[in-house]
Amino acid sequence: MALLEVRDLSVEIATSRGTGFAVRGLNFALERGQTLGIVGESGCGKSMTALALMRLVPENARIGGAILFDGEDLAQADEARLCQIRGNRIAMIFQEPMTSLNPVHTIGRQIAEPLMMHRGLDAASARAEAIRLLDRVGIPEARRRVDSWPHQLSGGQRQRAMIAMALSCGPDILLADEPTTALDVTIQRQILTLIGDLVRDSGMSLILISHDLGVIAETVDSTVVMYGGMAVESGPTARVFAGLAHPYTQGLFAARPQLGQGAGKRLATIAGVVPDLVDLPAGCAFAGRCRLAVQACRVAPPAPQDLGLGHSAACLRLDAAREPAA
Amino acid sequence: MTAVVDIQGAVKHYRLPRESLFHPAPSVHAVNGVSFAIARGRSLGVVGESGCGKSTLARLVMALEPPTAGTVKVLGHDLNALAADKLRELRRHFQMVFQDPYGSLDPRHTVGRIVGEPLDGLETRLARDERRARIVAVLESVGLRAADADKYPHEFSGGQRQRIAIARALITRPALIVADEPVSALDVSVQAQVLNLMRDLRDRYGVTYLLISHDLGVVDYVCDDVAVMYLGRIVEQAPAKTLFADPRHPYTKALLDAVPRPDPTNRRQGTVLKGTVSVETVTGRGCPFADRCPRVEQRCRDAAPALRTIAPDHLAACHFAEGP
Ligand SMILES: Nc1ncnc2c1ncn2[C@@H]1O[C@H](COP(=O)(O)OP(=O)(O)OP(=O)(O)O)[C@@H](O)[C@H]1O
Ligand SMILES: Nc1ncnc2c1ncn2[C@@H]1O[C@H](COP(=O)(O)OP(=O)(O)OP(=O)(O)O)[C@@H](O)[C@H]1O
Ligand SMILES: [Mg+2]
Ligand SMILES: [Mg+2]
Repeated sequence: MALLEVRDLSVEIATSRGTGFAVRGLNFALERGQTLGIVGESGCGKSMTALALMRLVPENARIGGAILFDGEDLAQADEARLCQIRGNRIAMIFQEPMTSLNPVHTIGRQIAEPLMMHRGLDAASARAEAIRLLDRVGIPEARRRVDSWPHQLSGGQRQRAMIAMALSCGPDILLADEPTTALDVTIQRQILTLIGDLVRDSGMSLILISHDLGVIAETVDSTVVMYGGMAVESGPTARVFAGLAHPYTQGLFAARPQLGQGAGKRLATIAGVVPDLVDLPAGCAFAGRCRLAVQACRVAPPAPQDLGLGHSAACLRLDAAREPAA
Repeated sequence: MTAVVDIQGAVKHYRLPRESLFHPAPSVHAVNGVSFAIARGRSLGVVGESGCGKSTLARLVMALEPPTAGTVKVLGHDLNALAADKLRELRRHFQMVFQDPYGSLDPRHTVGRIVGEPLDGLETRLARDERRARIVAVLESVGLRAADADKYPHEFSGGQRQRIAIARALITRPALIVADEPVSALDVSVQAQVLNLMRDLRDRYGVTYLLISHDLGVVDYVCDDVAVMYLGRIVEQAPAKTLFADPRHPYTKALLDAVPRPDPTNRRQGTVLKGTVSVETVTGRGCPFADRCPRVEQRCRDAAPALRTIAPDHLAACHFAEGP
């Protein structure tokens, strides 16, 4: 049995203009020690997916489907049970550090708290452990910085304080939502190496959300590409990156600014904007922006097509997509 | 012609919590003697390790904090010698995109109001529908839609909020935009759209950028010149093309080496820069990078190398910068 199995997950949000799905029909499984990446356009539902796994979606959102963690359905668990699991067995690095760090407590206290609560450490050893963790995530002079307030840290230092907090209890699953966006490449590498060590040495599983395709390529075993709340392509990372089967995945790869390309060429963009979640189209969510869309694409969301070796893509025009763009 | 930004010898120290009653409170030397000038239309990118003082530098340029020492001039005015009302007037000509978008958007206001706010500083008040049209146009230019103007910040994803902050900075087409990691929260397709927009504004309205980013590809795409910071100092500065093709400082080389590549078949075993930065090294007499430098020698520990011209338009602070 997989450590985590997500079946037909959905997140429905009530807004002032009606309700809509931020996540729809999502399925995946994660074994112990396995790593999964989620990529996709801003607003496609990546953070909502992670928040749903922690049962931390906003109040106006409703979760559907099953989230089986070690056989137990977290979608049905009560708040008391979730409190035992959150921060302890499943930990999360949030996308916006400033909104998840408490501004009125020092970072040392915020890292020590779960250690005392879940691990039963006394105050002195929790503090010592907090300093060790801050040091591991590369905060300079951790002993001095442990008593700093969040506003006294740089953007990347806050993000690392949050990473230290997430790692403190040695979780079974780490949900990392854009964990290195505020970090420069050398520290990013240090953090990804640290996370990689934990995966290898203690069998931690990882769900990594990132829009940086380089980070995904270097870190995770398998990758899910999301668009409009759904998985449009998924499979082993090497297969997805070599195949680029779905027209959206192709657009995503074409848009990267590359070092050395300089100011000469204009960046490729995907024309149009993501559909609003309250008026998602009946068919494929990408159809409105897809150069290959035909009438059939607009009728119903396409089912995933098996491409072999665990690689699949949800598109009716996979043959046409294989031809190079004109 | 006056430079858009002219900084001379800027220093900024912060106090840390006091450890004992009998010792002075320790302080962080966030910016440690930085000088540069940005000519109109020549955008400067600032890159460097997390915590090296980039955002602090941005706050000094925006006059959000006074420097501990040194002068900061924007559009010819010494910001810290300017009366409050004059500074307020000048502010519409330089806008900032903050690193933490959520913290900089007022949760009680609609997006339309947030984005339109800088328009209130214009000398001629816009008519209602003209104002609305400007707001809609700028929202669309960052990939949001007209209907989003009536929503509140919490209804958006992280990347969408970042675009709201960018739209707000762009709406008055200021002469200078200080952008602190403006696209790091955005996926590549939206990022491309925003970067193209930034370049269009530069070409069409002559906007100059001071762009902070840890993504070297982004800096290469938008900026003419690049400054590399380490521990509160500039250690190398050159036109983007030169810097990326021929980096002379070992720290710049390490940065370029660490860029992740989207090729899962060819994973590198991380050549992580060893060691961490400490405040002690700042005050030591040697090169601040010596402890982590692969080619350190005794002279690096004895004397700090000065930032100097090593080739036309190319500055570097390394004893070996002229060598191979
Ligand atoms: N509280 C809310 N009320 C209404 N809509 C919301 C709310 N929170 C998020 N949304 C919408 O749900 C969708 C999915 O948001 P989510 O935060 O999961 O995006 P994301 O994929 O993480 O994007 P990003 O890369 O920008 O962080 C977006 O279209 C967003 O506008
Ligand atoms: N208000 C403050 N009080 C104390 N120290 C501070 C304060 N603001 C910043 N610092 C410290 O000054 C140094 C430089 O911070 P700054 O925010 O400028 O870094 P940065 O280069 O922007 O880093 P990042 O890439 O992580 O955002 C850091 O060590 C930070 O902890
Ligand atoms: Mg998100
Ligand atoms: Mg910063």
